[in-house]
Amino acid sequence: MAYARRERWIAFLMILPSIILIAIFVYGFIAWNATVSVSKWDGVEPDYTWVGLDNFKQLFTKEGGISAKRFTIDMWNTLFFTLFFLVTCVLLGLLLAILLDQNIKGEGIFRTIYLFPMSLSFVVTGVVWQWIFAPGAGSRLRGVNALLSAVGLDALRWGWYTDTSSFGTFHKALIPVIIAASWQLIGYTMAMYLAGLRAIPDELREAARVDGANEIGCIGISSCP
Amino acid sequence: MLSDSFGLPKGAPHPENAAAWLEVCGSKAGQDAFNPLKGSIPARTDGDRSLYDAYLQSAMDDFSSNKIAPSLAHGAAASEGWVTTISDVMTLFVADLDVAAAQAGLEQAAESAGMEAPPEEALSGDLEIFSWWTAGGEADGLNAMYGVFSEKYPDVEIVNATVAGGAGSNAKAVLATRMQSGDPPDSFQVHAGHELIDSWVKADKMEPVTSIFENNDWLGSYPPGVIDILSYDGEIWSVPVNIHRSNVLWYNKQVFADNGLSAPATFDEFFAAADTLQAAGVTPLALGDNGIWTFIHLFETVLLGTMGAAKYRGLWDGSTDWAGTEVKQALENLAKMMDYVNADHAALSWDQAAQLVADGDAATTIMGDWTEGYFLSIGLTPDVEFGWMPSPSTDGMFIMLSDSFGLPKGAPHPENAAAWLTVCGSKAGQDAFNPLKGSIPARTDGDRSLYDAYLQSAMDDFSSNEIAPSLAHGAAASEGWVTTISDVMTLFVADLDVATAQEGLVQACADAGMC
Repeated sequence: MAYARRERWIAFLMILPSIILIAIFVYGFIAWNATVSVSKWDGVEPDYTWVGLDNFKQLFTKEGGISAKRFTIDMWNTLFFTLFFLVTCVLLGLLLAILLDQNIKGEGIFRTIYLFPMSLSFVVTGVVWQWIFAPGAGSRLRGVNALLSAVGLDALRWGWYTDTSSFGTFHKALIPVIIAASWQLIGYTMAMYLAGLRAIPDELREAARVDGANEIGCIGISSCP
Repeated sequence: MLSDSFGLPKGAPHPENAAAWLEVCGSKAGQDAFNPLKGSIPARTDGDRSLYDAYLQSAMDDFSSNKIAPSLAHGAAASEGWVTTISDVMTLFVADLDVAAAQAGLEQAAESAGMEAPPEEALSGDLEIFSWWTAGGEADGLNAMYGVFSEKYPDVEIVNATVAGGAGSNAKAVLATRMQSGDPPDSFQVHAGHELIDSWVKADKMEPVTSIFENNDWLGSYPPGVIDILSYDGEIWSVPVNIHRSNVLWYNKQVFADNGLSAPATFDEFFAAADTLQAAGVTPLALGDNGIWTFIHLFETVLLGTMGAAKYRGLWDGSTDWAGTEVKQALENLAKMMDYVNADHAALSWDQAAQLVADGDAATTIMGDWTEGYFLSIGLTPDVEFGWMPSPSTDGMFIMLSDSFGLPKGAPHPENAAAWLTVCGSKAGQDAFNPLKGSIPARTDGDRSLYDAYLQSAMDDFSSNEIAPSLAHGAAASEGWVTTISDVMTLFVADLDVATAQEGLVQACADAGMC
């Protein structure tokens, strides 16, 4: 008993530095952020005069004028981006995982290729995809547009991230951004799903197959916990 | 001049009565009672002339029109101790008339009065200069200016604190943190004008540098328009090292020649030429606004071209109405220009837009004079492959932006910083820096032979044109105001809705507290 208590103390001391650092640099700063957000500080000099929720009113109401309008657009963009980015990553990641789980030849190579983008920094991904989707114009088409034109698919050319039109509050220019972000992180979700799929014993699938399920059914029934 | 005056000692037994006495002393009635009897003229300029005799009247005239210098013999110029030492020197001099001995004595008198300029080698210690000039011509220029400084002050160790990235925005963030935590550099780079004044001067973080201008007799070496932009509350707050021009139209000479066009001077000529060029399959105006500042840059040149320099300057102090027809007209001109820009403008940067002009895919671009540096770096020759004009309808006007150095309060080595600022503002310093940076000196007496054809033409225009401050580059408005205008222009470049944009601009001015 005494031994166990000492163990626990040592464990606690071991994680104490992390607790302190996280308390300061994560939660401390979140709290500080919240304090600043209800203060009057809008210049270089700190000014902690309490203004309640006025800053937030500025962001969300007509009072905020053009800045509020931009903020609303940015909110919708973030919302749509998160939604489509997550859905794409989850669905395509699962699809790739299932494909890799078919005991195919060269599985290792494919797995590496799918995971590769993760090793790039987001900045690099952003810059490279910015080049790829740069539309060009007239006789000097670039990136994807040049490719589409070369194979005679001129009808599919468009402005990509420079397009300013939208469906309701969804701006079309988000599509290339979602593609780029998904490209980077699909490998990660694939790895998660693959690990999960591999954890399912083959007997379970055998059982499902014996019970008369087809391949897709096999995956569905046996993989869902 | 010499003057008798009354003061108010600390601990005066009847301070209210003393204050009332001083009020009488300073009043017209008091001075006109005293002076005709004393045989002197009033210190005020509005004395009643009829009370004074012919000589005193002429002295009054001279007093209000002449240059005033303080009297040495009568205590106006120097401290009593200093005057006493000078008396000793002159007592000997009147006897022996030995010039060398007298001058040595006078020098010593100045020194013991603490007025002798400290010998330049005396400066030592560190000098930390903060900037975002990390690469290319600007870093070379900065190093050249460090060279000028080190020659004069070899014992001062220069600490070159630079922060790269984001056209200065990273550096500004680092600077803000350092200033807030009370750890300012000795001197830092800042855009002259409101960026300095609204961010730092109003926050009481800067020392004025007016005395540096006065001590070096620089007030005549800089155009008054520049001094205006540097000044706030009667003081000058930073020393400019260079001037860039923003309202320049760069054009491809071959493209213009091929289409039988001459460079457009006005909006009408520009739009006429643009129609011809578009019909010929050339993009008339190249724009690269993947950073919104380039679009604001275009906007400021259109504002100036539409309303002229006086009204343009009025926009920034509230005397020109943002809701007025000129602003509307400017937005309409800008929207019309957008009909003639490259379709992929949102994907390009300013230098990629300049590249379109260099390649002949586009005919013109409107950008600051760092564009020349870009053209030179890709091997083009000024006035052969590319030409330049003031942007449409801005002939005779010069939108300036300027990098300057200021003196923060609490700088660890203020004497070294003052010496640095003296180098920054000097002819030698500016002529070392600017030919490398590709800008013109802020002084009007720069050595022309050091600058190329474009810069020489900019120097001519700078000393003769009407000067206006740049919006996109921090000279015209506070950073907060520029940010709101950025929001407005970000929406405008997408929808080109003039009415909404104008509403936004009106509100931006109100939010900034100027309207």
